[in-house]
Amino acid sequence: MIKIENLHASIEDKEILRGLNLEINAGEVHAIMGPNGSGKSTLASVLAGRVEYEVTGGSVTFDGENLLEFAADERARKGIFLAFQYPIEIPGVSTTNFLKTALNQIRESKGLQPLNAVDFLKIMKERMSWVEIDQSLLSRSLNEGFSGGEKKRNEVFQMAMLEPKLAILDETDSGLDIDALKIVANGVNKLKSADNATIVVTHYQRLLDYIVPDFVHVLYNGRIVKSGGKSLALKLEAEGYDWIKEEVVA
Amino acid sequence: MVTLNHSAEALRPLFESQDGKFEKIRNAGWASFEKTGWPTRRDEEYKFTALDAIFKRNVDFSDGGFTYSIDKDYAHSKFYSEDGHHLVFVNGNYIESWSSIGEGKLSLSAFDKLNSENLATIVNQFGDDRASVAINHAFLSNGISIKVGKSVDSLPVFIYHFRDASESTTLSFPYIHVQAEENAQICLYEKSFSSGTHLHFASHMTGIEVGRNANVQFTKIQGLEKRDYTLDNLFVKQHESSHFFANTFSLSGSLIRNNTDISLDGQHCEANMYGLYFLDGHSHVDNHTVVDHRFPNCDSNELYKGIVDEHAAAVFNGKIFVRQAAQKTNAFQSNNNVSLSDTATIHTKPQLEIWADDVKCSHGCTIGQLDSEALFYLESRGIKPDMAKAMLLGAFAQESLDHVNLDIIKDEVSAHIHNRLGV
Repeated sequence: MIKIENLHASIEDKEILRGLNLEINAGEVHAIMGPNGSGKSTLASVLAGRVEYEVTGGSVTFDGENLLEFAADERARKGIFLAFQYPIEIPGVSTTNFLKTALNQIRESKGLQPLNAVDFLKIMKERMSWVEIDQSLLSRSLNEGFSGGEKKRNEVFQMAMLEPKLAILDETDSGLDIDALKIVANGVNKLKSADNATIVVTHYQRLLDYIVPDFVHVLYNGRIVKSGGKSLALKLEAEGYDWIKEEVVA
Repeated sequence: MVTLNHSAEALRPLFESQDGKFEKIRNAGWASFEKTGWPTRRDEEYKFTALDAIFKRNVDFSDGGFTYSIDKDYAHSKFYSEDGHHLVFVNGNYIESWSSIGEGKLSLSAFDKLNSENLATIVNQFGDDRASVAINHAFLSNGISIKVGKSVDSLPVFIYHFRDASESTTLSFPYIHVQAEENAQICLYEKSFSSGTHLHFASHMTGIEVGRNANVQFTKIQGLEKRDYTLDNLFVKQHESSHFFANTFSLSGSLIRNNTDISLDGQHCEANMYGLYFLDGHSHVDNHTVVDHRFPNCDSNELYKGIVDEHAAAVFNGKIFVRQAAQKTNAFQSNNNVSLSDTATIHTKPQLEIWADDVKCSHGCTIGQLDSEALFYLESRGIKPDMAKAMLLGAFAQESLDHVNLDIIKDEVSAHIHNRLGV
């Protein structure tokens, strides 16, 4: 589905990604872990098309196309979804209205008719229950005055509505208590299918108890330096990153 | 042929061609105007708004511009489909036979029905010697005086100004006087229409007296037409425990200058001013506001928002005076602008002058582009950049509509904004 080869990216002339390789197939869940400053969020931002990051080398192929050629909104319509680490508050734009616009623009790009209000509400009701989000929250301004947990649930709710091919969860677990974590994970798992894939960026093994990854990668100094199965996450939880850093130096 | 320039002289023939109506007021207005002439950019209050932009062109006012070709049906077609008092002005003159007065205790007198003493009392109550006031007096037309009694009349008042410049260049000098008596409540909505390809120019006077414990809301929609040249003076005097709301929507126009002056003449008053300007092309809109806190324990809130695109220019100047007697004043003012193009111009200047020591005052102004993080958030969900931008602008503008009482007006302005944004 997505193939990242020798990806180099920098922000304000500071190189963050330094030759990153990663391939993800449909149906897979990949966890990306790594110490602070290793480039995890940069990777998520670069894939989503944030313009502040400059790609200085390498390639990203998504469904056979050069992803890097497309603007953020085009990528989203092609099926990339980024769940933000810090979702933005947008006063005056309701979640409902915003999602309806987004969903219909995505549908339009696929040659589908826009959803009418009734069908939209039906889908919305169903997906709301997946992440246990309340209607009253959705008629309010987007994320305005939402608690940390509500914002993250809203991210997963949006993901459920837009049904991306590749979802990137950027530290969706940060700031969540254990109950909220379970709800968010349930939502993600509900969406999982043989046709889509998920990248879970996280600091903590804890989330991976609920969203079970097929692969765990360790990002360090802008490169994936180690990959393994779920047991790698457990080992990182127990032993930290020092042994990996030593391996890299050696 | 008369070509207007900075000097008052150019308007003299027109002034002298008037009939003998309102002679005293007109003469006094002319004398005052003759002294000052039109303000120029050297005048601090007009530093960014050159009235000569209107008058430096070769404008032919020779026929006086008081002819019109629109008819009653046309005027009625523009009425809001809402119960209320619908008052029609054509080129500055109130036309009773075209107006429709609804049920309720509203007493309304056209200026030509008032004796000259009463009229002088009204006209001398508001305004000062500035040129836009003087010129309105010098060409005083058939204005109206509305008295709202204390038995509450909930029906709204709609004031329609038609400016018909299809025959010739047109000058309009409407005058509206509102006296809300003790405990009265009234909402007024004013809208201007322009037709015809000639230039038209208006200098409005509105004087509102808000009685003790009365509540008045005055909303104006202006600049619907590109050829809108307007000087608009709104003077408000508030008595004890009264509430006043001004909503000013300037949706474009060629050149609009709003002078909004509120004087708080009693304790426990609340004054609110909300404005939105949404400008493109070469529109130039200038809002100069004054809130004068003269008594203790009063609140004033002011929020003007602007979206300025293409070559348009916006000017905001907000003065708040807190006199020595006006302890326990709360005065807030804010002016937020979004500039959409490199060629748009925004001048904003808050001015606070405080003589009292126990007050809470704040002011602030911002000029910026849209929040790039918010844009990215919307785009990252598949929303095209143009649409994302429009959604954010719509949301930004929408806040200025929060205080309008009547849905039909809110919806109209909102639809206008969303149409222009394409959302």
